[in-house]
Amino acid sequence: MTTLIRQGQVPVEPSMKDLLDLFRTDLLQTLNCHHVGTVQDFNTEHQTATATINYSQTFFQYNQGSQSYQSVPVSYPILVDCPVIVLGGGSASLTFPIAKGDECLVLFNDRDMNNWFNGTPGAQVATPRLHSFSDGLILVGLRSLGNVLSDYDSSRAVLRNADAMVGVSSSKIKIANDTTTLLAVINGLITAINALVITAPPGGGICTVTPISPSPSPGGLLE
Amino acid sequence: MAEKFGRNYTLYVQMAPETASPSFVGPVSPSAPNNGPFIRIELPLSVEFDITRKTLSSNSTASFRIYNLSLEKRNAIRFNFSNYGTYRQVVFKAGYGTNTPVVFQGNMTQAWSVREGVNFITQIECLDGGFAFRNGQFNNQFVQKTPQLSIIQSALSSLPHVSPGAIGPSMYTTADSGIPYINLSGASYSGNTVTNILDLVPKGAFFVDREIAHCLGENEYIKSGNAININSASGLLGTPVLEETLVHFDMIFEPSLNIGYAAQLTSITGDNFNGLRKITAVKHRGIISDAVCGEAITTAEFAYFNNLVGVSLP
Repeated sequence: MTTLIRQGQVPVEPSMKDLLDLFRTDLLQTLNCHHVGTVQDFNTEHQTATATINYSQTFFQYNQGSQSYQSVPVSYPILVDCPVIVLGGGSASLTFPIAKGDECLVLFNDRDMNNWFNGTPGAQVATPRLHSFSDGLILVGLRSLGNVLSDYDSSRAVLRNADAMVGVSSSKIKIANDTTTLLAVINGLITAINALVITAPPGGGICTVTPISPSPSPGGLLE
Repeated sequence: MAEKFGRNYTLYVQMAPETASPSFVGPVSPSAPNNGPFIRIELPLSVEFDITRKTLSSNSTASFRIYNLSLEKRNAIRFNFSNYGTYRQVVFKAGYGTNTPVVFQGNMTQAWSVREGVNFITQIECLDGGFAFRNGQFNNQFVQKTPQLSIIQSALSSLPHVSPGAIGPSMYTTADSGIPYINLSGASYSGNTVTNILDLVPKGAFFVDREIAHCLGENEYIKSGNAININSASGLLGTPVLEETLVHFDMIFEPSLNIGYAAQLTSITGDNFNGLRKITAVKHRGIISDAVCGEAITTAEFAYFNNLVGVSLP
């Protein structure tokens, strides 16, 4: 008696691991976590920005002519009314002249932040959306290789804007622009004062000004 | 009393343009593109069907087994599972005599033919809105003060080969005050349309039936004409059974029973469930044949809610 061999079966069924691998990929592809973007408009009153994502999505569409799937790039939507993270605490803040073209990091909040942003903290979320493009937060300061800072100072904490800078090292402060430093200006001023000569009125002798002793040394504070 | 004699059906299956033949017919529904003809299958050919339609966010499904199609049509119907980027519509109209409403409308996901004994069986697997679930993309941004209803309508409109349907008030009004919700800030959406819709509406509200997308709350139903009567005269079998909050019942194949719509249940043996109910799931299975006998049964389910709210189609 021969054993009946079943026919017409699918030779290789995907296993649970195959399914979970695909699920993992799908989950990560559709989850909005962070994106790199560019500021298109900054609202100084509300401190919100409009931004675009710096790369495109890839879809696969079936091409009847070639009988194959071809990749099609599709732009992401524009992110509108995204709150911009402004560094600060208490009554203090550190603001920057955010402008169109600034590269930025877009972070997507876990839940709908509309009610919070519009002044209702503690309220229920308005919609059930999760990690949505509508809940982007913008952090400006991210730079691609084409926009890196020149002359990056690796020894000081520096606040700079174009040619002007304030640098703080462990014991000194440097204030400078592209032509001079505050230290050079003050040193020049002290030298000028020390060389100062005052001529006495007619009939009198020469009035000598004694140099400041000890001479001020701003180099102890400034560099 | 509803007549339930003389089962009848017509199954339309869309073909690729290259398989066109003079024996094929043109498009049968507005959502079908004009790039492919249809094969029309009807009696005396026998068909077995198993259709599950539900108000859940996953696709409704249908499976058809057609007996002894010609070689030309078997070859024309063949469809690979990996052809998820190709839309081939399937429309199944069934009922009694000339009363054959659309029981299923969706797209083919796989189709093949095999010989079983003396018969050639053509099997067609379908999903309702499957193409839209797989290929729908929603990339859009909305300015501040955009009503939530507009965003939901826009998302539903971006589903390919699926039409926007009823949207219940609970989808776009605040729970406590019932005021239409306005997005105070701008909003952006990107990615798969269905994923975005599930972010826009409460859990369990979105579903597609016969290639129409609806968003309805638990107690909201689609208002359209008179509710169908379900009683012993119309074919109710046995006693409705309650499981948790869901009640299900069997009846002789009832093609007019649609999910998301209301039905008037009148059971003699289970009168505590009687009343206007929103149908949440329907399962049709059976055979329609001029050659052999066989059952055709509809099992339906409704949530045991009162105070239903009717919502009109757009």
